[in-house]
Amino acid sequence: MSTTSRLPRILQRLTEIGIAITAVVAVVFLVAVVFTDSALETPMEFTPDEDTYSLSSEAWGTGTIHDAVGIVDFTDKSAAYVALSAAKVLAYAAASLALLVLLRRILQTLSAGTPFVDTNADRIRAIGILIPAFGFLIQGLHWATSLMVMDTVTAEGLHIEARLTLNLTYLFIGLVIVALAEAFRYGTHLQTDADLTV
Amino acid sequence: MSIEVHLDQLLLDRKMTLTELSNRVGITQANLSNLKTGKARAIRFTTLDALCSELHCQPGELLSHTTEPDRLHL
Repeated sequence: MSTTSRLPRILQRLTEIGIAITAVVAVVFLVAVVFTDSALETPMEFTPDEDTYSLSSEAWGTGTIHDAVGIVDFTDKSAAYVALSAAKVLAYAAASLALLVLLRRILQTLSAGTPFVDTNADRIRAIGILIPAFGFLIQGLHWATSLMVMDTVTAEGLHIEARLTLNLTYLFIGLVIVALAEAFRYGTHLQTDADLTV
Repeated sequence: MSIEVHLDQLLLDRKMTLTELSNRVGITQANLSNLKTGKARAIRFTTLDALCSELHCQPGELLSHTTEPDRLHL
């Protein structure tokens, strides 16, 4: 058996291992978030008070901190906060599992003979849609958690903000993959033509 | 445009089976079956040449054009 024919099977096994690891890690994180007193991390953005916080350097003089991004840890958790954190864990797990399962199915067709089948074009397009969808969902959940924390937190000298930052990288990646899916679909038509030429 | 394939009739006239023709021309039975049932989308000149040689016929005896849109589409 040649290396090229072994590669899809090896990748298929790796995705299966990835699925198992993702499922286990998701359960561990979910248990940790819901049932333990572990600190929950919330990404926050701060605007420090210029009178309170400043930087000084012998070489560069005085500096001003305009915006800062950090993570806040809390040990006391409200039910809503735990629910949002659990939703984030589930969203990460669902995204990873969905992508790995789709990848595994594509690799299965590669091992079986040809990957140029219509269902694979649909699977690749689904990957292209899932990446920005889950990306924006997770960013939205981060924003919702930050909003919840912002309402209850006061910090002297710091103005805390919960900004909804949409990372458009997910969208571009998704668009590229959807475009590739359509190119792949054309490849399946060519494959069918070749198969039905006697 | 519709193309009719008269492989069945030619085989019957020559008292030849599809398996026998498949062995003689070196084309799989699955492909010949696709051709016979009108599932094939295209036929190579080499295939046509091999079929005509074995069946001792002209391409026009194997294929014909019909206005009925229910046969092989090329």
